[in-house]
Amino acid sequence: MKLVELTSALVDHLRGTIPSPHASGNWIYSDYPRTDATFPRISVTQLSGSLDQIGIGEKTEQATHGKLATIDYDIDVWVKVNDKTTYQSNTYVGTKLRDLYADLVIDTLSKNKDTFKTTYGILDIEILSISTQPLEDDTQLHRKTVTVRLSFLWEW
Amino acid sequence: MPVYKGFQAQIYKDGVRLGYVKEVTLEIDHSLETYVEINSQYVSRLQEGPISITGRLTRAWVDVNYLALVGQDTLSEFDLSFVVNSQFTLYVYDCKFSKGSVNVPSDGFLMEDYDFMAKDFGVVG
Repeated sequence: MKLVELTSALVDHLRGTIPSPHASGNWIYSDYPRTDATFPRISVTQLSGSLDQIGIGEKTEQATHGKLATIDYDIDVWVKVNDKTTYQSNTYVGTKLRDLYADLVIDTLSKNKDTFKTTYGILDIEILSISTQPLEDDTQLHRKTVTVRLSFLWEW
Repeated sequence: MPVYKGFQAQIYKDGVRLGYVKEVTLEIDHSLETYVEINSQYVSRLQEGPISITGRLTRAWVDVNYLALVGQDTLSEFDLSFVVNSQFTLYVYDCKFSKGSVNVPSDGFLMEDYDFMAKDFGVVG
């Protein structure tokens, strides 16, 4: 696995597990949304990472894996002030809706570590931090950022 | 003089490559002592004493086979070999684990550490 496959795996998993607020079309992407996009949206962006030698003898001609990759991601939830969604019989609006999606992101990543391991070979997912941005006056967007760290074996 | 790094080395136990070894340390101590003759100010020779071969290895992932080597009343012997870039090999014969520990963190990787002692060693290359 490498960076492109890792991002795709993360986006695919979020798309498959978090219920969409929209009637049709994708709403989770690997880049920041345009201001004229349809909200709510979730963006998945790579921040930084490191590649460490996994052990003595890695990588040699006999070894399959060369590096232990640790990559950080920002998962941003974007919600317009008046966006409204019903989830499990409750109606969520604005900041409450933003927090709901942040909760769902954290839940699905935390509960499905085993699935990530068996399906994609991702060794671990850690939730590093949660931060909230002030309301953007121009765009009327609420935004919450969940920073996560993924580790996997970098193959070549 | 060539310089080698960890990725160019391989560690084997009884001919089977150890997986994901973070670090291996080997120490060979000849218990060397100085011998000074009576009335002499200077050392006349360096006297070798008993040879002590000890080491330590740190691995990722807990392997029950290694735990079993320290989990029994009688310790089993094994051989270790250090192959560096196919240039030379350091053999350590008749080792026994003298001490083992397992670290299970709430987050991060499970690690295991073992101290070993050996009877003999040899270098080929």
